[in-house]
Amino acid sequence: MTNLNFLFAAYTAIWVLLFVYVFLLSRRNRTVQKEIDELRQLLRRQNAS
Amino acid sequence: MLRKLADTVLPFLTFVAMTAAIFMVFVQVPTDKVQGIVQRIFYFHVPLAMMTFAAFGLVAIASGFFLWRGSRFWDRLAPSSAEVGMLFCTLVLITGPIWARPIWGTWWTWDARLTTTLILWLIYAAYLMLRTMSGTGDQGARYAAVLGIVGAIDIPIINRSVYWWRTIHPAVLITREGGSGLNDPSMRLTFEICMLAFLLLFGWLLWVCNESGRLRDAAEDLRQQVIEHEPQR
Amino acid sequence: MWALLRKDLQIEFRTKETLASLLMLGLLTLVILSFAFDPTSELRDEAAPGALWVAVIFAGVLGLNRSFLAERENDCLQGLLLCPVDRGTVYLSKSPGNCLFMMVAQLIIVPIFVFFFNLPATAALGGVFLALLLGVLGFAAVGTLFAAISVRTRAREVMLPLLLLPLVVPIFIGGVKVTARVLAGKPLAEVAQWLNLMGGFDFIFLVVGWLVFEYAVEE
Repeated sequence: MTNLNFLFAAYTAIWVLLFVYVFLLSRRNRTVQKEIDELRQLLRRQNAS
Repeated sequence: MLRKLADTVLPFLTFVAMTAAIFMVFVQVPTDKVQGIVQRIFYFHVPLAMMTFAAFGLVAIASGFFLWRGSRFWDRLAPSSAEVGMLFCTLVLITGPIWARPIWGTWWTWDARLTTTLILWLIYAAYLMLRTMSGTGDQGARYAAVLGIVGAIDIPIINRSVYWWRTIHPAVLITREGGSGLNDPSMRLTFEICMLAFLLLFGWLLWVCNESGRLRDAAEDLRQQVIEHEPQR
Repeated sequence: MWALLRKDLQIEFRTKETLASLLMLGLLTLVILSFAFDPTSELRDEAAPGALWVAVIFAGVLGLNRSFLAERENDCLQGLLLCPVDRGTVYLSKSPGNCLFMMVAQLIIVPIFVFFFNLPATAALGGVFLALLLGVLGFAAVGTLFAAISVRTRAREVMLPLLLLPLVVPIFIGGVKVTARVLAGKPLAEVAQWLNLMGGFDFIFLVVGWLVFEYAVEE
């Protein structure tokens, strides 16, 4: 039944786009978090000196 | 703190609701007699559409508050809402035609709702581009806020004009599909569960995206502090 | 406000640059669009109103860009902002000014349009001009606001059409509808709802522009 293909296509599209977005978001957050940690370390070193 | 709560409870609720939604859509709800199984796309398509319009409304409200109050909170909320809204809008524009093809025989019709959604997508895109392409700091935020407000005011006008555009000429009249002709109570329940699931999904994604913005701002603050603390060489 | 408007007009009459750009771009668009259709096909007549409005919109976008870019280059906007004038008033002088320039360009473009598309030169043209006036006013209202914004972004000229075109869809649809009906000989009363829509659009966005312009030009 080709209608099933359409149903599949629609739900796959939803899943793929949502997944890609969440993945990109988590990667973005991870990068920024790492940057924050590095900056905090730098600040601590500055304050110590 | 509220943050901890949102970080854990929100995704959990979203997961539960979405799982329930998937179950309802694929197992529980009866097949529509007229449209066949393709009709099931509807249960995700419509909540997606409602959320994208809600998202844009939120963009407008946040933009307004930002121009009025100037706090970073609103300027983080607005683009986050725009980002998630854009994602949902894209999904609406993909699932809509996939549904339309077997039902109406054509991928695209220029009917009022579909066309307005397309234009909404274009305005979202312009908003996000404007936000990233403006020069220094606050400027981009303010410009985007202006667009957010003007766009939101314009959408109803656009909708009405496209609707008139389509329905004045009876020869090309394409009646909008019922869609909301949900007779079976089980269908209505399915729809409501899906609506809830997407409301939660939107909330969760909005939260994560907003957090991203907050982290970026925190990083920027730290960077400023580091620069200030730099000893004079 | 009148002083500002007069100043804009004076500058324009001396250089005539904006007017020239609007005119040439509008004409060129009409010519190019004419190539899109077989001169003998019926499609041409149906497409005529659309062609006119595409020309108006495209020329308008480019003309607006030009006028703001020039101001930016000469730091005129800075000078203006130093005036002890409410930002909203600056907007209210700029947008009708832009509207006026575009309408003057239409005075030449419309006759050429009539020639190119073999339309009867009847009183119907009055209706066309009315549609143009309402449409151009709305276009200038939104356009002035976003042109001020666009020229200060990295993407410069590209940004304005991106922002403007989706927003002026009601104007475009309304304008084409009214033009088509009027050229088909129908009375204005028939297109009253479109004229109302365009008028409403104009009013709403002139007010919004007036309220919000200061955010578009703040440093």
